[in-house]
Amino acid sequence: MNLWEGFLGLADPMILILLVTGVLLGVIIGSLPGLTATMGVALFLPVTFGMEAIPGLLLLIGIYFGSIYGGSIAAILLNTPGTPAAAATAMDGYAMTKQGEARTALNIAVIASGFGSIISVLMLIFLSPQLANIALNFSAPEMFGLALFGLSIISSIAGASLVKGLIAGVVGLLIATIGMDPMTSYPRYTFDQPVLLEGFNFIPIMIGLFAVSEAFIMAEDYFKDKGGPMKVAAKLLKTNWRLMPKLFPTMTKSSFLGSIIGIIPGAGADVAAFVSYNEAQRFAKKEDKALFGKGNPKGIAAAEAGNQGVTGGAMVPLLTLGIPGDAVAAVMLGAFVVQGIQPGPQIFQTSGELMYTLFAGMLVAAIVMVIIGLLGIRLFTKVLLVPKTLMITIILVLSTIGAFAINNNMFDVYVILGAGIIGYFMKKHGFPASPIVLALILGPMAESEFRRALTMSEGSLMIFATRPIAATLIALAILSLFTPLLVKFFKDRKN
Amino acid sequence: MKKYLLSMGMIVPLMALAACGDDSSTEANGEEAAENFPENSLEVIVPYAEGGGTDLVARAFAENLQEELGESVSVSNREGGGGAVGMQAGANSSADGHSMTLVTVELLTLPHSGLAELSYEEDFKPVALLNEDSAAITVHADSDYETIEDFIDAADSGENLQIGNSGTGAIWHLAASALEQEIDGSFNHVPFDGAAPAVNNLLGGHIDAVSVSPAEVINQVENGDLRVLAVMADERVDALPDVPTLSETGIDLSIGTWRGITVPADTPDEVVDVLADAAATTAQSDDFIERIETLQLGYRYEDPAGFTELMNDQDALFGELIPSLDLN
Amino acid sequence: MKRLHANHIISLLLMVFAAAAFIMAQSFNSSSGVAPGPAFFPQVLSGLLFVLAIILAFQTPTDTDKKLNLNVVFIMIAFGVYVFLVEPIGFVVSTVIFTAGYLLILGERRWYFIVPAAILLPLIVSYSFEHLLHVPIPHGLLY
Repeated sequence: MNLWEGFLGLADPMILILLVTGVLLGVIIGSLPGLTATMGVALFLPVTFGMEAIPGLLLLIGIYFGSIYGGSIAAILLNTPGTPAAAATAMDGYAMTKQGEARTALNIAVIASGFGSIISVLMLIFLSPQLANIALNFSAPEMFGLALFGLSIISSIAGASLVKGLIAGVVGLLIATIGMDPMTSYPRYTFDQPVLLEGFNFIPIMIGLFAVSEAFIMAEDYFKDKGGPMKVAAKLLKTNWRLMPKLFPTMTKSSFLGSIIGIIPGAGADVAAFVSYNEAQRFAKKEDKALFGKGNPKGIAAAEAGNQGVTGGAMVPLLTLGIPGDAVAAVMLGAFVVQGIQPGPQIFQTSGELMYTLFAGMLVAAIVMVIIGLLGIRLFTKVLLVPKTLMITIILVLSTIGAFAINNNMFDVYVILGAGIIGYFMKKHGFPASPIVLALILGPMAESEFRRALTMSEGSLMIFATRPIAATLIALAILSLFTPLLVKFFKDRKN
Repeated sequence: MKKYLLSMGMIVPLMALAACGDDSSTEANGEEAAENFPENSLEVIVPYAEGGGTDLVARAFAENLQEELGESVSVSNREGGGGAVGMQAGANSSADGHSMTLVTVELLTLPHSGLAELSYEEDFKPVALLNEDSAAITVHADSDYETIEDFIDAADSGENLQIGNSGTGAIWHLAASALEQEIDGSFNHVPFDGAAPAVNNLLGGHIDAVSVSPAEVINQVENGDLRVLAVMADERVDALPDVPTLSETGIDLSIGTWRGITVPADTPDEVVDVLADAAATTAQSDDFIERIETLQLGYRYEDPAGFTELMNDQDALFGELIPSLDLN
Repeated sequence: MKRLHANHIISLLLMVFAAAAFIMAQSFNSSSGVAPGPAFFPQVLSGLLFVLAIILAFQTPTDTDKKLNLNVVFIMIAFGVYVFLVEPIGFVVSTVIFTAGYLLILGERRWYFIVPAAILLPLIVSYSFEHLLHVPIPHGLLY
């Protein structure tokens, strides 16, 4: 049994139709605020109960791939990331749209996404058993190191004012502590309100800070600059294809990085996007570095290849160890089990044929995604032609229903209102929103892994120094946090 | 507060509507209601997310009950608060037998931990118990602990064993704590965010043991990576026939999760009887049992009386255990 | 000392916030033995926030447009009203009202633009969420 025979197993028009349907649904789900990849896969899981294993699983794979990519579309065009994984894409993507380069940005996003999923699926196919050990080496101290490393990115995405970026990050970390303490279940800052026990879900906060506040800003610009129905972007330049070859190194590196992060249990596409973004920025040349956040194509390529790289990576521990690598993989585990397939070390013996068909299907899903993405760009950019008045209304309506859909809960809708108003004033006063989102994603992980590590070591901090992976990650985090600080300090001294 | 006002604003007109439509109380017409039951589609409220073990049990049950009753049975997931949100919603749902709630052991543990104001006696009537999974003390295959006796001896001799669980206050933490109290040892409980990362840490050799359900370790056990030392059950578990129970080693401790169907407490008894009969046929059908086994879950059916007995026993256990743990 | 500016006010607010968070965290019960308890992170973070707020006070704000546009306040309030109406009266009906109202507030006057938008937007969104994506939406009293 090999991969070629796996492709033959796909030679059924029904399977291709399901793959295309899955990717299309995924793109729609991903581009809508509030509907994440996890939710998309979970929503369609019951649909697959009545299907055969391969079509059912491939429908979900299509949704998974499509929704991670789909998040970038609204992030680039409207600065409203559809999924947390696309928050990093919004930084340079929206800047490019404002410069009239929406088409180029969207093309980079889809090609980088395709690159990310193909590389990660190839790693899944050929290196799974070797890579699975990475997952086993990650215990609490290493996870803390990874979370800290992710958080250190705040200093490089802070924007104009480092202090304001750090304040946003620390406020985000504080918000993340609201609710039941993950280690002892002690309720913190809940004021005896049951809705606060679970803490703030970070997705409504993200929708508020990005989408809702962006709608308010658009409205303000519109009031200032009255006239007929104005367009969001004045110009729409042709795609700059000559840029692509220059981006391949970034895409390749980010795809590998994303795959590795996907393998580590507990770290998902959102973490991968930010880490890849930071790495691309760190190793950029001087003039190029300054362009990050202002419309650097490498920013999009890194974030998108990174978050899509997680797709294959997250399947590695699921298929080889039977342990889901992230929230989406946990739902996928349910899909396998329902079909009577137990993911785990024996899966290649018990269901080898099925596995290779599935792998082939994943590669096809990545290609389908790229084709749909490239063909769709003409359609996606039409969003920019929608009259601004209507666009503002649509963003607010979709944000509202998207926030409600997360948990069938009105509280999340009130959160987007509050976060939207706060986000508006933050933008007015130069406080960046992405550090808050990053802090909400990584804060709980950093805190609980830190305390879990100390529980395991019975209070000794040496556990972080004596384990090589943990020590390396923590050292990298400190380096990455303070380098921009020092650079700025010396620059200020010079002037 | 605002939410409360809003819901008041909705309740008043709704009550007015209800008052005009039908002035007979359900209690007086229990028999009539039972004769006509089910009048329309039914619903199973699941307090956990799609795709999890609880959800899969509910869907398997709903699908089979649908055939039994000839009315559609839908599943709606209301997650949050470690199950409290969905169970509360279930307790408040319409008491006519058409909305059922899949409750789990958390119905008993959450109130004792002060995390939910639920009462299994006052809020629900049991219909059928569908599944039970006992805690399995599992170690790495390379571990020095070959038997549960080795393990207990090590704990007795003062070794500080690191036991992973799926979260503080979760049933698998309570199971390990109960064992700790029984053998008078001292475990270092390491809470994880769910069972999967705990198993991952055990596989990587970062902790000494986990106490989770057999389904969560069975693959690794079959593959020879992990070893189950004992299950905390009265009888041996079908999936692990060679693994002794704790009671075989002289420790009388049976603890684990279970899942069952309930209806709100105000549902007329006659309706509950009709539903319980249908549920009994469904839960004991080959098709349902096969589904539960495919999911690698433990099958156990109990009728309303047996289900009540189980909850009474366990409530007494948790009522003693949880306060003694000083969780918060 | 320079004139009072926006950063002073923000800094003061943040300091009050940080102090409150720190004090509240002191009551967090810590029974987790050797490892840091539930109060550890909140207290470290609020301390850090306090220091950052002091640094902020010494920075001069950049020249951005700080004047609050009254129209923006108005559209925020309108969105707030909508958000609180969705649950009691239902998504579809409230969205019809919201869409029409918002377009009017934003200065749109062409009825042949407003009417189709106000009808189609809620219908398309509610249909696609409920029937294509299987996501429930709030129906409230009216729908």
